[in-house]
Amino acid sequence: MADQQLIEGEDIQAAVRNYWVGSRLWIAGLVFYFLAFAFSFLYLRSLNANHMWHPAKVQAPAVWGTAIVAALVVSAIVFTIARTALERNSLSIWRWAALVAFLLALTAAALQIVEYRELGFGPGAGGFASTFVAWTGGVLVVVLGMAYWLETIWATSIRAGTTLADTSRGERRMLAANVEGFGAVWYFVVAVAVATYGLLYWVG
Amino acid sequence: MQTDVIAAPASRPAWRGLIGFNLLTGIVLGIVGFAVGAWLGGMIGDGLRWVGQSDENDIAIFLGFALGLVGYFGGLGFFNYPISRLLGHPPSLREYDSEGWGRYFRMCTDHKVVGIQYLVVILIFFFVAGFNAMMIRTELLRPSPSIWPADTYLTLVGEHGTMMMVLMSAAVIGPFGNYLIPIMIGARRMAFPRIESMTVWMTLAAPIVLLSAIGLGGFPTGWTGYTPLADQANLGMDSYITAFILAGTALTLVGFNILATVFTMRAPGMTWGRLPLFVWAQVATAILMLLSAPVLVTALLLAVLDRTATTTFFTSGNGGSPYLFENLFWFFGHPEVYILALPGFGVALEILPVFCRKPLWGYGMAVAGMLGIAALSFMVWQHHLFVSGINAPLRPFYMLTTELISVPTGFLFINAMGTLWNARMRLEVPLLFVLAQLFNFLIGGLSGIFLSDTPSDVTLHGSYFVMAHLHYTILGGLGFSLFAAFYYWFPKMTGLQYNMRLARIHFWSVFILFNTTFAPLFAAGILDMPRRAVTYASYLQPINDWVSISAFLLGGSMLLFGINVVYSWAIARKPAVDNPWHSRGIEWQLPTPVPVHNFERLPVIVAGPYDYGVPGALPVMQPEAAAAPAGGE
Repeated sequence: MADQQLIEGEDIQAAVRNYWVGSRLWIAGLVFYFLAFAFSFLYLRSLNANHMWHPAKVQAPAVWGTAIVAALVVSAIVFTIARTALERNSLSIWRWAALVAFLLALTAAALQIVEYRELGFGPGAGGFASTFVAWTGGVLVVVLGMAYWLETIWATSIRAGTTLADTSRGERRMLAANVEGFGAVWYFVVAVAVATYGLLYWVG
Repeated sequence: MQTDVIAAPASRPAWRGLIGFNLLTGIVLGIVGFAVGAWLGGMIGDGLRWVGQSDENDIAIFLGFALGLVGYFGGLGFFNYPISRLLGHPPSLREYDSEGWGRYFRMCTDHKVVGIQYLVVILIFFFVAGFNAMMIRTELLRPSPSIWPADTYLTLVGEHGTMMMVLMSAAVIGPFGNYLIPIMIGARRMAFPRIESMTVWMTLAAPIVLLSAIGLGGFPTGWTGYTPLADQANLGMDSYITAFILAGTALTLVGFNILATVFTMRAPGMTWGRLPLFVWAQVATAILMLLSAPVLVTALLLAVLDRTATTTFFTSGNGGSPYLFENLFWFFGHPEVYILALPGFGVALEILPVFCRKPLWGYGMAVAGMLGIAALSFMVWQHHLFVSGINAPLRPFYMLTTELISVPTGFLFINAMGTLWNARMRLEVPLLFVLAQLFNFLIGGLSGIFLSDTPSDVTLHGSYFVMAHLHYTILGGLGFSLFAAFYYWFPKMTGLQYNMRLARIHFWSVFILFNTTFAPLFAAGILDMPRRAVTYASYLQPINDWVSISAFLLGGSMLLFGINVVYSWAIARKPAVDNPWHSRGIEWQLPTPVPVHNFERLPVIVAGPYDYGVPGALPVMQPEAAAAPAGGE
């Protein structure tokens, strides 16, 4: 890839700003996406229609939930290491740490799918069971999307090779902006996952 | 990788153009995907007890739609870029066939092509939904079912309402927002052009999926899709849910893209205080889209789970509640009202100064009005639940917030009146439509006060009074602004002039017939005619016959518009003069047709867009003078 200060026909500064602004706007949209799940949880819980919000036999498996959230939190921590490495131009550490963060996100998604098989209750077992399945599924979809985003960043940096070492190059500035934008959304998603975990597994 | 412009080889046979990533491939793969998904869903359903107990398999339908959409978008070429990024390839913007008709039938990242694509899609389905309305009015010529069975009638009502809501949400922001915003802010393109392109193909798919409900037994809920009726409805409900999920996703993405574009892509000198009000209106609308549409999508996804996975979100017997859907739906649904209204005000305030030949009165107030409406619109949704058994103490709060929203709306009317005051108006067709829009929306807005007021809403809720109100705001407000925008920007977007005489006849006929059709519905509502009911009391027949006949004539006047569009665009093709309205807008300073990248170099914005008649006013921009980056500062 040739060095360039134009990205897709536009000045690179505009492209860099697009990542920053786009990621924040994406967070704003995600806030309301998750808000609908949170509202459902609180609304149905407060109504407790026919005392069927949370029958005693319905118990969310906390071990699985803890494992899922732990994978996400560790992924965010490892991503922070990767991001710091990139800022310090330690490309080798960046690549390995970003790969680990990506794999941990996938692990969390896989654990979530396994949890569905081990749940012990069906989605029709009351309001809580419905909310549990839908909300964790909503988080799962977003985590998979974020894993895709991180993979594209990682793959781009692998393909760019050593040219990324020059921090003045367009590709490098774009990568840094992409990483920053991803980080903002990823920290938000992980924070939502932690909050979701608290509500679903402990508050119920 | 810079922009590639790929032109079709000159020697290629015409039929070769049908092969590749285009609409035809998208349709074929969409059908194949649907078949595969339905088959898979059938297999899955066979193994599930609760599907076996039912005579319908919603899983097959939803999976069919899901894989059908995957095939459709794959055929259009939307997965090429994500896959290449997955493999680590750098960004590469392809603008397929920058000339020729082919670019309109495939994914294209030129915002002007997307704008035209939107315009055609909106117009086609506007007529389809209008035809639905004609069928509804035909049935209502008699007080008891005479042409359509009750369930077919309900499906017609639902198709009309949902299709109009889906399309009208994008009616201005889709064609005109996409086409004009980058030009108006001095940019070469949208911030995320692929997302922009994707939204138009979603907007095309949504009404087609919605129409498939007719073949799946219809749906009985109208455009609101209320549960538990929706949970109990037959397979046609799946079409409604899928179509609205598509539309909601498209709205979210449009909002996201427009906000990002305006935040980051403004030309040097395009400060917030110089932003055209049309753009401000789209920004306010985009905020609503980005924040409200995800709630709709989630609500509909919960409905999917209720219908396929036995969750009980909306059934009160098992820990759920139908009110949950009402809350989630109207959390989107009321901002949706302003998603419909605000772009229309943007059109009106953009056009008024041009034809009044004087500066816009109260620019800052107009911006405050638009943002005020956007902010307040999130605090009013429960007024739709006044008769649904909400806590009584909550009613005054929502009544007050709803009535409060008339204050910022009033700002916009004051702007319009201040601009019209003492103006030497040029009564061209776009201005006529703007004036009619203001008149209609005023009636719609004033009648809305009765519906925001709890005591009167309890009486009028669910009646034709509501029908009249919403048609005055949506068709009378947004619809008329859509026509104003069309007649104003058509010469810019196509380089062609429409038939002015037909346009004037269209205006006068549609203005008169719109009012003779919908004003009597206020009376019908007060006389207790319920919405969505195929039967009505016999004493209401004269008023219904009047409305139906007027509606048929209104449909005829819309046909005049369609004839003018087809005649001017495809047959007469009379070239338009440059800047026929003598506008100061940036879009009118560019050559027609607008070059692929709009500006060779970014312009510098040196003045506001509304300094009409101001002595010594500078031109809005100095073209091609800047090497500075975009960003507005």
